[in-house]
Amino acid sequence: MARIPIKYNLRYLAVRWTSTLTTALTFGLVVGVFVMVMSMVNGIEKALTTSGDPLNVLVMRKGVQAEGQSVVNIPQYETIRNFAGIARDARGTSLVGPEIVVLVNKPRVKTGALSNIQVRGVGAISYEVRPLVKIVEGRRPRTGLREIIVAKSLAGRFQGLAIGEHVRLGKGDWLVVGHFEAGRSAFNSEIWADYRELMQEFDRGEYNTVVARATGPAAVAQIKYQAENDPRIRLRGLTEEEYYNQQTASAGPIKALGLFLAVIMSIGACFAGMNTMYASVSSRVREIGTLRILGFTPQAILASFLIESIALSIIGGAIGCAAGGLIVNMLGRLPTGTMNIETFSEVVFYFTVTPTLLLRGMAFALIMGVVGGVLPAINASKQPILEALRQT
Amino acid sequence: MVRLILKNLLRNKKRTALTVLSFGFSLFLLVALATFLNALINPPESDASILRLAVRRSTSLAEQMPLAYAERLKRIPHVADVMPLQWFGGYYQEPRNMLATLALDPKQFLEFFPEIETTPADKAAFVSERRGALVGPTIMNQFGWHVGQMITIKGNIFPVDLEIKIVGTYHNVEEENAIYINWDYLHETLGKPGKIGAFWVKADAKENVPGIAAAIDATFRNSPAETKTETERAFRLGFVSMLGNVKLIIGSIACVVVFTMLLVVTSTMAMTIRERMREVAILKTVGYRRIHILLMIVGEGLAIALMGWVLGYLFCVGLGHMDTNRMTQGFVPKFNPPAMIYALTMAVGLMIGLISGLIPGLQASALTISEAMRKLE
Repeated sequence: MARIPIKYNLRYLAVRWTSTLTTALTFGLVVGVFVMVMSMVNGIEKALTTSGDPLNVLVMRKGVQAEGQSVVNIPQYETIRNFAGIARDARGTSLVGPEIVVLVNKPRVKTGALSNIQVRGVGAISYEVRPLVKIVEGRRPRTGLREIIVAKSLAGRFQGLAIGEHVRLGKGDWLVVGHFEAGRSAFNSEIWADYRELMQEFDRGEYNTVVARATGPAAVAQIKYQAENDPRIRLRGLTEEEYYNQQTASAGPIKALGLFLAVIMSIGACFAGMNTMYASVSSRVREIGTLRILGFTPQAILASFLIESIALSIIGGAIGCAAGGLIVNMLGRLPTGTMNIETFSEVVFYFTVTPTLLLRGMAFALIMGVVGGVLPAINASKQPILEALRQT
Repeated sequence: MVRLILKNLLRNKKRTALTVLSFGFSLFLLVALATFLNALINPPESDASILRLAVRRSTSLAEQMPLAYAERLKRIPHVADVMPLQWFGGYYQEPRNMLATLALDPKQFLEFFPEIETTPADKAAFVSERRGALVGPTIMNQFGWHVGQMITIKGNIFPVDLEIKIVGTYHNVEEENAIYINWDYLHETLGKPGKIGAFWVKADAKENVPGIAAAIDATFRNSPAETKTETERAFRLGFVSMLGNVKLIIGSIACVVVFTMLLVVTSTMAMTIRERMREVAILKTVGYRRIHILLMIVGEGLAIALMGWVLGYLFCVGLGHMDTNRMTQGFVPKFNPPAMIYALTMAVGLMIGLISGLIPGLQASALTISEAMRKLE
């Protein structure tokens, strides 16, 4: 069976470039919106999933979803300290330490709207087990002093977090002594302070969690087992990786919004695409008749028009991916934030476009092309030859 | 003229239908976005809600303050009543079954929040039963609970589990997915630590609300637990602002939707007129003037937009009749866009119809007869 050359379709699209462009643009806008919204979902998930180190085990109370809800008391910590499987650093110090987290409500830079920031009370061990956290300006807080370091991306988004400024946390003012970076992880949305000082500030007599560095994957299971089964503590151990992965639910509402938008918009775009294709069929009735006389089968005509619709959608998808990608690339340099549902605090993220996302956008466009093109293509293939030729 | 427009619309029924469908879906989306945004940034206000203020720790909602603050709050001028409020949260059986459990004073609660509708019997049981709970219908359906059942709510923020008895349900236009329990029972279970997360304060009159907020925060300034007092509206908007720049994101998506609609209708109109150039020439030859041609084409664009709006409106009404509460798991209790949004989207729709007719209309009407004749394919 002879196929109609694709060149025929492409030439037609080029000749009718205005309607080609408007239809492609309609598809492109749908794909563009899809790509942009989903790049937010990607960004949030990335901020949370890249945080976790698979060898860092967090020991916390059973049944809690966030560190802030957990309670680990001092006797429990003493037990955990002597667990088997905990790594040691070069000086022989056991890599295990308590942490606390509190929320502070601070105003954003532009709007002044208040949002929660997570403050983490840390010890020297916390820095050792999280090499991702690097001081880029200033220095670490000194033990025994009311000093804090702030994630650099947070300092740009909230008022009064520059180095040298005083910030009110609980009862008193704390001095900002440094800014840190932590890749694109969730620590990028935090303020760090000495845990003993922070416990005093917030009248805490207990820790929230204990972080322990395992010597290897087998030791991870060992630490988890001890946390759950040691009769003195009855806590739960989970790796940082597992902890942050369970928080990606925060991206859920945005994901739902993105899918809802994409589905409704693409239905609208399919109708528009159908319109264009019907118009192009009806303006080519004579050509179709000629093709049939030349010996092309109705199936070949159907395939040809379907290919034309798909070509249109590919152009649209490419426009959408390019535009969406470009805008995201510009936005992506700047951090943006939303609320982490689990911890009830700000999570800073970057719009992130991945090749998979662009492929999904193109797949979306293809579906629109097929759905929008199939009826007009059937219509074209069923044109009666004689009447077609008689038409002027 | 109107007959001419109608004839033209009916000539290519398939095209008109497709354009109207495309337009209708987009308008429906626009209404949905506007309704969502409106619900977020304009929480409905009633005579009761305007009098309510929320008092919490200035540090953040997660910190607690002394329960004894209640007495001091009551002594502040123009404060009519003070009610304890504690977010318990918790979950049912599995951590992923998160619950919105709020502990408060049952008797005061129904006076503070007259918009919560319940039967006198349920109310009486909630007030008298120490472990009683009013449970929203969404949650009842989700877990298949029934009135009279005992439920264990596992604590996540607090290290205790609560045994509650469902004594009744309630109705509220805004949310039906909360569990209201007795603060006294929670406080006792916790071992009476004498601390609480927040208070609701009721003002005696609307004009005293701002003064009360300032007076409360001044009372506790420089104390170990400083407070932040906000009107109910500000308190709610605080949660929205934590979500980030929702306004900007939804606003820009709405713009893209409008632009897409414009593109679709304009290109259809252009397509239609291009195919009708010869008729335009004939109409001009038989004496129709430029303005007639323009009106005819613009009228067609407007008619398409209007039909699209009607279709979009029908979609919205249809969705309003569906159980969106169950479909979205309580996220959209009822899809009921205010008339203002319908009017606004109609204006946007008609504007698009106007522009879409104007561009090809001006082109066509400006052509001389001989040019139009020559444009034939």
